[in-house]
Parts: sequence; structure tokens; C-alpha cells
Amino acid sequence: MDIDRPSDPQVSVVSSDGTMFHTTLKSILLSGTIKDMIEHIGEGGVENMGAIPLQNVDSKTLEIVIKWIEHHKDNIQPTSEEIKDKTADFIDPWDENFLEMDLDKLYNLITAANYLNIPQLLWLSTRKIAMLIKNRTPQEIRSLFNIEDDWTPQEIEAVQKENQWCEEK
Amino acid sequence: MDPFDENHISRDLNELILQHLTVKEILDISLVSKNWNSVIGSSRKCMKKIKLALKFWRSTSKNEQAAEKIKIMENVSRKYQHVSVDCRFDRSVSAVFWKLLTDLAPNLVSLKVKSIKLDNLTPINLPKLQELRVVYVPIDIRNILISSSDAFISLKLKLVSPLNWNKTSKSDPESSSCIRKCLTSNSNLKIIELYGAVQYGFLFDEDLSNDIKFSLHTLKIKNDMRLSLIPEITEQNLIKFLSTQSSSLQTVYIDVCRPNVIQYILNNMRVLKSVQIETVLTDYKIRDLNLRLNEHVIDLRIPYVNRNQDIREMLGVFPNLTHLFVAHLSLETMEYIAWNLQKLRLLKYRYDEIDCESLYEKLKEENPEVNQNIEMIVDYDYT
Repeated sequence: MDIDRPSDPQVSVVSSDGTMFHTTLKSILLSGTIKDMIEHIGEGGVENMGAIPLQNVDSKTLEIVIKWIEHHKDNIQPTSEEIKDKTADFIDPWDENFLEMDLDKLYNLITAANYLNIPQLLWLSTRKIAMLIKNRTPQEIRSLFNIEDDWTPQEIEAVQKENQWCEEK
Repeated sequence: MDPFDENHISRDLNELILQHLTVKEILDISLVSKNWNSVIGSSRKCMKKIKLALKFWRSTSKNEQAAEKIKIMENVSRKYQHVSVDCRFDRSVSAVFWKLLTDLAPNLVSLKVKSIKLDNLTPINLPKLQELRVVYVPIDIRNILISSSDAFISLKLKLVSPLNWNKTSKSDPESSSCIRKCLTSNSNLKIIELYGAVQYGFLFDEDLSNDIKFSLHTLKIKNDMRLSLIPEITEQNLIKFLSTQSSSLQTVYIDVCRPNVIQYILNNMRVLKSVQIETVLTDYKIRDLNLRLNEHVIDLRIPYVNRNQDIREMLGVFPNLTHLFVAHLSLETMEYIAWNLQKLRLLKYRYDEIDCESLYEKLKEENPEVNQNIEMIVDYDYT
């Protein structure tokens, strides 16, 4: 990055439904996708570039994403390689709280985190769904997500039998 | 709102949700719906963690077991990468297994098959297979052995056929030639384990050394034959084979063989770290082996060297051992070990009629120079 530039210049992004959001360069660089775009523009381009259009993220979701990246803009972000090997880990209570949202918002957030390539946010939001699934019976999961039970008794018995013969590799 | 519904979250992100769950949790949630089961079944990451292992309890009757096994194999709903099946020499079980194998073949990474019995096995191509273990299969194994593939690194064969096997009989030359073909056509093999008389003796009937392209790190051969039944020419071919592997072999396990084979392994395998010799050396003195100083072997197992004089002579050649397994341990040998094997951490022995542990404790107390860190374990069960 250019040293002469103000330490954290303003950047604007536009959602798929045309709403403009203002944030800072440091925050938006948490998105690998936007980082690549900006690096492409090259030196000195940041001040002169216009608002960045994000055609795959709607305004409701973009607002949530911006809230998250602004909160984490000073934290060191794990790379997608590091995320791969990540297992149970300390979860920031702020993040836990942040992820308390309706399922449709959460699903859109996952899609956006993937599109924008924000590995840590993608990890946290997919983990959130896994936590909803954990320690629940299949019937509880069905009612939680409103899923129809489409097994016949014979079919489910066959899968249960098969599971009996599965072991951890 | 179903998280595994494509309209909500795209298919390629499903794995990211599943990666947070354990194998047990993944299996439990496969019961939620057909869609969930199929999402799990087609997830390469999930299937990497789960193995389908069809074995049966002894208490149920043979027919029941076979029927249950067939039922499960006919209904398998996921694309397993790891499969282990015992067919119990049942023709119908074997046939259904072979059909299942055809379905899973493109994804299969490891396969263990035990007691299969089929008259005509159609060959199956297993392009991703890394590890093949074949246990107790009648002589006709031709079509189990795969054609060459870059992924293939580990071959373990235990091919004593309870139907045709006879200690004194010659083995089926076609099987031997089939195994030879497997060895010469796979250039990435790293591990070979051959158990059972049938193929070992006859595998090295021919000199393989010119046709081999792989560099093994592990070789285990157990033939269970009497030495008199192994022709000398076979062992000469084995030595020629070993000579092609002398800069890669790190682990060697060998049972009955003539002393010149042992001498060759210990003196010529340049990166050897771990070696187990099962030969009963009663008529030979270790001194006659003419061993050279060996500083790279750190794990030595000689459970059938009985004379303690021999054990001590052998230990003199291996100053850097960290692991040692012997048969009898005399007080003299214990004292020798404590003083001379300064890096030893684990000492296993088979018989404890002599109380070496008290001696070692006493030595440690009186002499700060003896190795203070040896853990001693008696292995009564070793056969």
C-alpha cells in the first residue's frame, strides 16, 4: 500500500439493489475478492475509484457484512489454508452474539461471505449452522428447519443398519 | 428453511457446514431426510472420514449374517472411499460385494477384502486406490489385483488359502505371476506386506530386480515355511530385489530366512531405521554374520535370538538404538544395555524368569553414568 495515503481512506460499495454503503479500506480489505480488485487497480487508484458494485450481495446482507468487517478490521485474519485445519476454537463472544439472526439472514450471510471471500466469517457462519444441528435428534432438526420426513420406515431402517457398519476412518 | 436446500445455500458450501461435525454426528443427521443423506453421501470430505466396515459378530448364525450383509450391501446409499468387507467365503455375499465394489470403484481410496469366493471375478479398475489389503482368498486372486495406478502406494496380501493350502505343496504359479505383474506395473508403491507361504516362496522364484520401478519404505515378509522348503535360489532373488531398495527401505520385517539374507539387510540397507527378524538363530552364531557398525538403525527386534552372548554381540553393532525387543534377558546383558545403549528408551523382552528390573534399578542408583531412562516391558503374549 502507498505510504503517503491517509492511513485508512473511505471506500464505497453498492449492493445488488442499488444501496450505497461507506466503509474504510482497512475493513473492506478483509474481503479477498475486493482485495484482489483493488490490487488490480494498482497504486493510487483507491482515492479515484468510484463505488465498488457488488452484484451478488443485497443491501440487508451487505449491512451485516460491513458491521462484521468493521468490527474485525484490526484483527489478524486467518488465511483460508489455516481455516481448513481449524477445529474447535475459542469463539469471540461478540461473534456469537453477532450470529444470532434469522435463518434466511444467516444463509444469505454464508453466501455473501463465500462470494466476498472472507474465510473467518464463512467459517463462523457455517459453524453456526453446525451448532444448530449438533445434539439434536433428526425429528428436532426437521422441526427446526421445517424439513419434511420423506423416508419410508423400510428405507430409514436400511440407513440405520448401514450406519451401524460405519466407523471412523 | 433447509440449509441443504440448494435454493438457500449452494451445494458447494455444504461441505463447509459438515466440516464442523464429528463422524458420529454426521451419521446421526443422515437420518433427517433423503436429501441430507445424499448430501453427506456425496461429500468427499465426509466420506474421507467414514469407513464402511462389514464384519459380523460370532454369536449370530452364518446364514443370518450372510443375509444381513447382502441386505446392507444392496442398499448402500453413500459413496464410500474406505471399505472393508469380510465375505466369509460365501458365494452370494461375494457376488453382491463385487457389484458394490463396481459402484464405488471411481472413489475408492482404501480397500480391505477378506475371504472372498467367486469363480469369475470381472476385473475392476480402481483409479484412486492407495491401499489394498487382501486376506484369506483362494488361489484365484488374479482379478483382485489392480492394474497400475499412480495413486497406489500400499499392498498388503495375506493369501493363505484355507481351501487349497498345504505347507508342502507348490503354490499356484498363476497367482504368483499375477502378483509379480502387480509389483512390476506399479511404480509408486511404498509399502508391501506379504503374509503366507503361498506367494512369498514363489514370488521370488524369478529375479524381479530388473523390472521394478518403485522405492519402498516398508517391506514385511512372513512366510511361515520351514527353511528347508525355501529354495536357495529364491533367497538369492530376494537379495537381488532388496538391492534395488537399499536407499529407500526404512522398515523391514522378515521371518524365516538364511543368515546371509539377515546379513545383507543389516549391512546394506543404507537408511534402515527399524528391523524385525523372526528367524530362529540357534545353529548360527551372530559373530559369523560379520555385521558392520550400524548407526542408523534405532529399532531392533530379535525375539528369536536365544543366546545372550549372541544378543550382546549383536547390540555392539547398533549403538543408537532407542527401541529393543529380545527374548531372554540375562543379568549380564541387562548390565551391558544399561551401560552401552545410552539412547535406549524402551526395552521389551519375552521372558522374565531373571529379575533384570531390580538389577537395573540398582545400577541406576549406584552409577549416574548408566542410561537412566529405560522403560522395561515384558511381552508374555508374543508368538
